[in-house]
Amino acid sequence: MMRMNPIILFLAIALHSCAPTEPTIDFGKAECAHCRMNVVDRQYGAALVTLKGREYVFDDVVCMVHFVEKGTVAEDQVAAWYVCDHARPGALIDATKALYLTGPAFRSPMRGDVAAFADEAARNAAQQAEDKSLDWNSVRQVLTP
Amino acid sequence: MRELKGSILLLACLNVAHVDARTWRYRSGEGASLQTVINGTASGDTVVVEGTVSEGSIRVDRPLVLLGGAHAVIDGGGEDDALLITADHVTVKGFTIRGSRRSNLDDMSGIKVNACRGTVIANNILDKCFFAIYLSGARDALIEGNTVLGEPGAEEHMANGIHLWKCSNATIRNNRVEYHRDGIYFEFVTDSRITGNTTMHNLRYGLHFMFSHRDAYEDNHFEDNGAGVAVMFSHHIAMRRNRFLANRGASAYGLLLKEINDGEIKDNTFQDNTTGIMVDGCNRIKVHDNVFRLNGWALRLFANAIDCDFRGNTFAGNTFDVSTNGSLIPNTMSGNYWDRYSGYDLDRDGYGDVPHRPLGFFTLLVEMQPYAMVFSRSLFVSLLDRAERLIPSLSPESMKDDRPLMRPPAHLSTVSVHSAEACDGDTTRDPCAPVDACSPGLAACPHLIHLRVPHG
Repeated sequence: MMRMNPIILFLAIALHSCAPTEPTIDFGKAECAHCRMNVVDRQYGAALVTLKGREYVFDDVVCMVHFVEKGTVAEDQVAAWYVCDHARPGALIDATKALYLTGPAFRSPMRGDVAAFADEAARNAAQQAEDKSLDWNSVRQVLTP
Repeated sequence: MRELKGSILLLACLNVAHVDARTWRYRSGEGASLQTVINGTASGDTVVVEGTVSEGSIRVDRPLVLLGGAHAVIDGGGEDDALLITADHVTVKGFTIRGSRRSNLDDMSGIKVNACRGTVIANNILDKCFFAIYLSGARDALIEGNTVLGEPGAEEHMANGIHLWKCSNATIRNNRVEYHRDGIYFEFVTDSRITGNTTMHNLRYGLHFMFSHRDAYEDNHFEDNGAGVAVMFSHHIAMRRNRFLANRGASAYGLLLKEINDGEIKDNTFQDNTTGIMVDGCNRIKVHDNVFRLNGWALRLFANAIDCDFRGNTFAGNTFDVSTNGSLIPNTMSGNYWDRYSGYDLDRDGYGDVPHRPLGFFTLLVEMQPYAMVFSRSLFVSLLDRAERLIPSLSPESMKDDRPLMRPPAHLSTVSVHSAEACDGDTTRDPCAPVDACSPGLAACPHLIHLRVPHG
């Protein structure tokens, strides 16, 4: 049996935990870092992780966009952006790669009214005639005050 | 036989077209469906319903009075809205309503009112509906005496109890809402009143205002909701004689004010909350004659609160009376009662002769370093606090009460009522009932709430 040096083992565990991990949103308890509302809607939550590994959660994509716009966390400090998948409530997906819809059917807690989807198929399934398709850059443009 | 009944019905309805309003009786299981009866009525008629109606979604598209008789139940059977109202002057009274479809995409409700005037929804029981009462674009609505119950343990899958969207001049009176997401939710609602309601055990807020202006809420009871009451992005809201109780948690507030202008907060009781009032980005709020008892923070004022006026409030038994995250506090505090005040009143005018500085050193420290909380109530902290009080160096100059009251305001008298939580979750007891009305053993309950109310 291979003997593992305890120091290497310790370093392996310690360094492993430094890699940015996907945040979890404690729905019902977490507070939006921007608007202070409780995060309860599993279809519209959002989160970001900074380069230092600090997590911020939001109840709506619009709050995340305004939060960074305001400069509490500078844009170049953001390591990863996440949004809730509208089709799979509660699941977080990479915000920069997600596909978005906005329209009267989507009513998010802070009136961002933008829903995120993991792929084209999920988005097409939810799309109504009056909904508009967006990507991450256009979402940020639309929601920036 | 059924056909005969149907034609009689049809004849009857043709006959009454020119006569004054008439009354129809409908008993479930007999004759046509309730929907057929409704379709046969003339404007202004009354329909009395008995028994359980489970024919899916019922639609009322003309001015009608729907009265619930014996055991009147409308069960939507999971098909869209249980009852959908699309006409002016519809009254719905005395029903049990259940079985609206649960869906995250459509706002399905027990009772939905779409763009109507003069709707009255009174004395109904709404049982585990997704949204319970949902008004959209309604004017002059009255929602009174309803009991709205969600599903305990499944609040996450429930929507709001009483939900108003783009309404005006609505009255929400004496309802009880439990186990929903938000108890009462207002978005784009103007010139409306919320009076005498009880909301408890809701997942998010007992009452939630968004973008709603010139509204008043008075004499309501908010207890043990996930995060208390939130008033956000609104102006000219009057909040009087409400009770904010037992809202505990890191992000829970008795009352959360966010971007509020020109509001009035008067004669309210804040007890047993993690934070009594959180003021973030508010202008010209009058906070007068409230009682803050046994809260973690009675008042958290962010530095972006401007021209707020605090007068005649009572602060007693709180861990922190006032906290702030900034230095410049352009707000006024005067004539409040602070149980921590250690000054004297030589001229005996009822006001202390030296100002009270409610912001302790430790409060500021905790605001900067939340983990410093572990030193709460330690000897060292109380020494530092005392030093700061003698030689103020950190606390903002304007954050002081120049005329602290020596006694709690005299125009208030104490009334004791029950907190439902105190009674081991016995939610059947009316939390607003005076203690004398309860059994004698309960009078000794440690969670009794002692409200201070104006004389008379």
